[in-house]
Amino acid sequence: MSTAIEEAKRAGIDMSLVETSLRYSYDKRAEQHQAALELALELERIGRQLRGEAQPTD
Amino acid sequence: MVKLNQLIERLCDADVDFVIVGGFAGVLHGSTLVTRDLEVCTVLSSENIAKLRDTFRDLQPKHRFTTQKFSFLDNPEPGVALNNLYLETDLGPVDLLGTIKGVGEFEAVRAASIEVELFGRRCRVLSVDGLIRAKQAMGRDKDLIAVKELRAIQEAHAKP
Repeated sequence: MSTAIEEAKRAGIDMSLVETSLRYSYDKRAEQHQAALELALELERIGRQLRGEAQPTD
Repeated sequence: MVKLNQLIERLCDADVDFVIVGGFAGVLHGSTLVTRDLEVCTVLSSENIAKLRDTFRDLQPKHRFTTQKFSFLDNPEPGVALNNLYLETDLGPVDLLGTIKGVGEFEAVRAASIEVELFGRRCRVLSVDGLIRAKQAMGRDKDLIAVKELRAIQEAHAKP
């Protein structure tokens, strides 16, 4: 029978990252998320800049 | 500038009973999926709205789904209660929801939550089981991916 972990892997979820996250405290998980979010937003900003699009004002 | 962690600190200090729900609750349970906003369940009584207004006063809070971007500082008028609030603030978007689909109204959401220590404060987070129910009820593709990850987290916790 398929386990939830196997199903998650099949869906493309990297369980090694989940396992690392589960070893962290709540504070550390929130901090890691903040860092990932800032990176994503910065990459989006650079993408818009390269395409010559206006940056959001809010 | 999006600083969801600081938004949580503000809410914890606001003397408003709330439960963290949505993607950020998933993050606290170990999810690796990135979310751009903070979603919390609370009772949006006129009293709580007044407290939230004080909490967000210096963050230029606006109703983000209104074309005119009405200020939360002026709308709704004092004494008015709401079901949901969707705000944009200087620290990022925050959704304050009276009901969570698949779980229920605030008391049911609170009953399905756990207390955690976050940034030196005690706050409540919807349980993994509650989150799975909420995300299944939403049923969008991204929610169903989150459900798969949350189930795997449940299974990982259950391992001896």
